Amino acid sequence: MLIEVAITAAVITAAVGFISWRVWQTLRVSKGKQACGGCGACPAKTAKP
Amino acid sequence: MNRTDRHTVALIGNPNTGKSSLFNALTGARQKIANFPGVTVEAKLGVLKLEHTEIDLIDLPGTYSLAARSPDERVAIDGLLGRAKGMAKPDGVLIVVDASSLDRNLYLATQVLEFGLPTVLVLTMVDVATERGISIDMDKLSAALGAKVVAVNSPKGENLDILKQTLHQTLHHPAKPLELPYPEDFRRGVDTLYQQLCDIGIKLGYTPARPESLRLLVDASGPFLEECEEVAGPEFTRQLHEIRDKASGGRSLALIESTARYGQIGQWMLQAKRTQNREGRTLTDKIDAVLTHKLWGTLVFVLVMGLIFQSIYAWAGPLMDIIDSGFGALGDLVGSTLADGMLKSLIVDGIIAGVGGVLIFLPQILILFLFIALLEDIGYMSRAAFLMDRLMARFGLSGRSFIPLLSSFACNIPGVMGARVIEDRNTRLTTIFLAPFMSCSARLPVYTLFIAVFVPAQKVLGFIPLQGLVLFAMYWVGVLFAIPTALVLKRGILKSKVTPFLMEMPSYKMPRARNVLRVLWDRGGSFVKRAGTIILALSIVVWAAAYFPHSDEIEQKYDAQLEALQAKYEPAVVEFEPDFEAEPQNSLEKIAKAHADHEAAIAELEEEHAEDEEALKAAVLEAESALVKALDDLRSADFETASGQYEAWLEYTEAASAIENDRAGDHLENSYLGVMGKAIEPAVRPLGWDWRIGMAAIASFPAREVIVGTLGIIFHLGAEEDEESGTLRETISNDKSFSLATGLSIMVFFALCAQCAATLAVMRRETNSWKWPITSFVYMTSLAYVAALVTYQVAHALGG
Repeated sequence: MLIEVAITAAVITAAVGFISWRVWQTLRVSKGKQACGGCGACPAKTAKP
Repeated sequence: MNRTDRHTVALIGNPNTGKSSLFNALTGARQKIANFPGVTVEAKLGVLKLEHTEIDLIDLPGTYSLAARSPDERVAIDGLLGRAKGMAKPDGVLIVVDASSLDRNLYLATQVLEFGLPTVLVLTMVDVATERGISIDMDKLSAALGAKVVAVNSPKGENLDILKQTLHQTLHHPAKPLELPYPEDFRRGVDTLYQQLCDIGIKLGYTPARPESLRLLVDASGPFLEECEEVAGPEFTRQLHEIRDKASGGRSLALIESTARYGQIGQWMLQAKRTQNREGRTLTDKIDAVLTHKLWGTLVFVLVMGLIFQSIYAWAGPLMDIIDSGFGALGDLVGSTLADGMLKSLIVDGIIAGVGGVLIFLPQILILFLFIALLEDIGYMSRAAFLMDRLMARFGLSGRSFIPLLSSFACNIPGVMGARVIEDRNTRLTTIFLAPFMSCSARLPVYTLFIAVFVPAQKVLGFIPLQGLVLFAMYWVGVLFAIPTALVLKRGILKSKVTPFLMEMPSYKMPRARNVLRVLWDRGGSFVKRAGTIILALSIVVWAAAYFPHSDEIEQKYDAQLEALQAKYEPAVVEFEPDFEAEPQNSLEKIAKAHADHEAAIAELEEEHAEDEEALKAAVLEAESALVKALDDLRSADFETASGQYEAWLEYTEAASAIENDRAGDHLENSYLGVMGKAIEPAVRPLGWDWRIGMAAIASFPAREVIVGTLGIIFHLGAEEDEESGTLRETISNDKSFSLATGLSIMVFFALCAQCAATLAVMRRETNSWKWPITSFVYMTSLAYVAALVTYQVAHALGG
């Protein structure tokens, strides 16, 4: 039971952390500090070798 | 000693000359290529590896000249001068030139050659030129230009090694700037202005190049002048105009410049180009006569678009069913492995229902992009832009807005960024504002889900499937609302003249399988990545909000009800758990198996005779007789008792299932999501939505597809899973809170609402102000609300 609670809490924390990171990335795009929104809806804007 | 040199080389050329294709061939990068201009709006970086040398290759946006009127042209100049952020000053240049339009393409080449960088001229589309009877003597052209010339065929990889070697050699030889025969006054004007620019070089933070003074003298506008004014004040502009007056000698400076350039190009062409007169029209001309025709062209355009949306329905179904069953099996596997509890619920109701619900739309996304990729590669999109130009001019927009708006149908972000090719600021802002109205691929799952549920699979006029027709119509909803918005903006705050739109019509080509597959791989990959990242994270958060606090009080209340129910039945009934896979051991099990086999047979018959009601009735009657016979065969001493137990078991399982459903529903209504949903319910009720749809719509503001996942989670959590639980489509169609009017209202809302945080962020960056994204968000959300309200009320009143 304790392990179940711990795993669930870790997964939720990771999801919230990921969303926060994406919000931060999006704000960086709006300020022009990043090339693309990285929304993943279109192919990557910066071609890599 | 082994040393590796590092150089930077800029790749520049007119739009649609095959720069991106060459860039990919040289660097192995996977940048998007299309058979229409304006695909690259930002400089891209790739690495070309040669023996002992690595070259950073910068792919600059396509431009017809270095006159920096639009932002993407400024990107080209900054890239050439090494002022682009994070990019070094180029040591050399590759000028990509379309051999079939050599004269016009060399105009840009003369401007670049004036910079005096080591340069290689790359001829593309030589096969098209040959078809048109054009032959080019490359040695003579090279001697005339003072630069090496190499003809390549990037898609086939022809002559790429020669190009690499030539570039390698060229980089190690200094080059002289091209000198054109300008009139003396003009030349003096350039020199004087160049001196002035050097004087303010310290304040600018860089030494301007001489060709920049030529550009400033001729153009007297653009971002570079603004920069100079900023550091040197308005006095600089006054002096610039004085110099311009002296240099022009009363003539147009632009005319002086173009006369000198085209004069020089004409002389080069006399030496290096031969054209044979070919009789008759080319195949491209013949096809264009139909596809760009006012009536036939428009008809073909509508037919092509209609066909795309029909195919999405006709072809995607079987593939969707496979993915759906895959996720169903995965859910069952996890469900049978884990014990009941929050972890099982998180995986089955949260992750699998949320992400799986979105991923089943992958086939539809792939079919849409298959058609887009084919049309792009064939060269049809430029013809579509030509057709739309006439229409768009009526709303104050030019055909130049068409490509960004067309890109927006795939994703609004490249649409907003693609507006950079528009010179006029007001038209650019209008285009950016309109881009989110175009139905991006994220809206597709929403449309297809609700169309599949509410629109019957009938045919209109006997041959047009209704579902595809409704999907086609949904794509027009955004366009229909964008038109009056454009009219208001262009006649109001963003008033400007309609500038003529000049667009090159690329010749038709056979689609290249590699290009098409690359588009499908990229788009499909992006969709899966998005489902596996942001949608997964949002699904987990939505699940948590819908699962917790999961109070003990509710658990106890329903446990007590269940205990009371169990007390009413004998233990043999309560404990009976039939295993239909195993051989039945007693009469009760035999009776249960006979009934289960009968139900399975009926389901099969219903599927078999779905379109023939009479045949179904007859088959069902036959199956029922078979059941009666099977039960007769089972008659034994304890048959009556076992029959009674079976009836009691049916009654008990139904009542127990109702209690479990109530328990799940009660938990959901009392969850954080439920409480929030109930609070907003009065606001969404007029749209025909209940609190669950309201919350799903709110959860979708960061990304639209989340609504599908959220509804999947809510329905999974809101009802106990049993053998009758179906797909999300089936669950919605069985739910009484949904009607056709509700479905239409949701689709209209999603067609018009600005639910994409990434698009709003890019809009802020492109307009350099929060004013536009905030206005867009408020305007589109209000519009979506009102339109959904009207849709629901009208459809409801009509009996929907």
